Amino acid sequence: MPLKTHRLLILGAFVGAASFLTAHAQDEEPGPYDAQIQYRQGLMKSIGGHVVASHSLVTGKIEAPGHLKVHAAALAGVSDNVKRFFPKGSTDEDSAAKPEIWESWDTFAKRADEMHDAAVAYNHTVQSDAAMTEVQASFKKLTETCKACHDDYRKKD
Amino acid sequence: VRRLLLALAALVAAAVVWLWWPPDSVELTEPSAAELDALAKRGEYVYRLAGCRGCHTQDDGPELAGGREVETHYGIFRPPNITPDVDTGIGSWSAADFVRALRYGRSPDGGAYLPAFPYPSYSGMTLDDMLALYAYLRTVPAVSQANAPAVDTWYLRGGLAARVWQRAFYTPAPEATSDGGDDAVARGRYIATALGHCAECHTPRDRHGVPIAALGYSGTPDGPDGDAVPNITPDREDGIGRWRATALREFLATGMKPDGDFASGAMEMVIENTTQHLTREDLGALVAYLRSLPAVPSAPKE
Repeated sequence: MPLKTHRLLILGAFVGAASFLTAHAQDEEPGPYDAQIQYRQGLMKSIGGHVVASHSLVTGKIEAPGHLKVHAAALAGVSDNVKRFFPKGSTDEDSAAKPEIWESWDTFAKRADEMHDAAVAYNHTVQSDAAMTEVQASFKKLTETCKACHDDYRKKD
Repeated sequence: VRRLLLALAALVAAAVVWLWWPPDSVELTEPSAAELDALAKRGEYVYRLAGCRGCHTQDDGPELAGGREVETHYGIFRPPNITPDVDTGIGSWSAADFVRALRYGRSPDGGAYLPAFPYPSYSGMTLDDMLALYAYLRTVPAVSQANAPAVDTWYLRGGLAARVWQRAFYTPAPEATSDGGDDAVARGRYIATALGHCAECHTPRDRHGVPIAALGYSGTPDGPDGDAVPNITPDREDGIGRWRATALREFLATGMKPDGDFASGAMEMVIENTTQHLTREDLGALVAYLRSLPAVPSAPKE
């Protein structure tokens, strides 16, 4: 191998190593609440998914025996103590959580608990094979509790 | 000096003529009480679709008695009492007065309304629908509730600004001869424009407060009550281009969005007062019209 090629290879290795180190040095440290926010967003999306799917079922647009019970159980299950995923100040420009959550924490916490209570009641109605009109009324109550929080505590698009 | 005074006087006279002539009055044969009674039922549907309730009723206040505060960046507006109360509402209005208000934005005494009252949209209503709406409003309970000042912005008070705005920027929609009939897109356009006045919030305005037609329905960052108003054109990134027709129907009927969230703010009110009352055919027509619009990206955020 000619000497010139050797030199080029060594230079290339130095440049490569330097750019690797610089890139790592510039990597942003995750924010203190990144994991919370990411989980929260996934949780809210999954709740939204169960709500949309349940809506198709309770309005009779789709028939999928057994599914409604699974969605209802999931809604009751994952809505438990949702407020614990909102530690003080856990928001940023990419999070939809408004700072008002922590300014009026008691109201926020109460509404989050009411959402869970409504989800539990809805699940009970579904699992007990109640009449569809009862299921629809209970589902509507649940969606109203979602909205109650979002109206005041979720940033608009 | 005399010439200057004469020129000034001529200028003032020209301005007065420009502002006060023509008077934009309406002449029509007043419908009989029996005719109005027959129209009232259909008028209730027109009333729902025209969305009068949202602005003319205060939260927990008497129906249509006015007073709700509508915050805009032009100031706070307080829509008036439109119940049939003779002293504080519109009980003394003739059908011609009512049509004049919807078509020309004028009160019975000729005063000009600010376009926060969406007559630029309502002017596109058929005469039949205007009269049906008039007939229905005569049937709601009369409530005696005096009107608060219409607007709190000093330069918009007194009617002169509204008069200048009308002369400079306002032309009523061409007289509508059809409510769209069986043509879904045409019917949807009529519902969205002449009745539902969707563009009043969803279309950005220029600095004179005139909706920018080329940006129709592409949303604004500062709509009523300070809320952002979304892009409802079929743009796939910024608008509703990825929403299925079913999802749009669901949203307008129930407020549910494709992600399981629900409408809030002014749109929640619109769904409650208007779109959930649409017949199946009219809901389909409105969706067909919205999906037929040109896709317009939202203006970049400042």
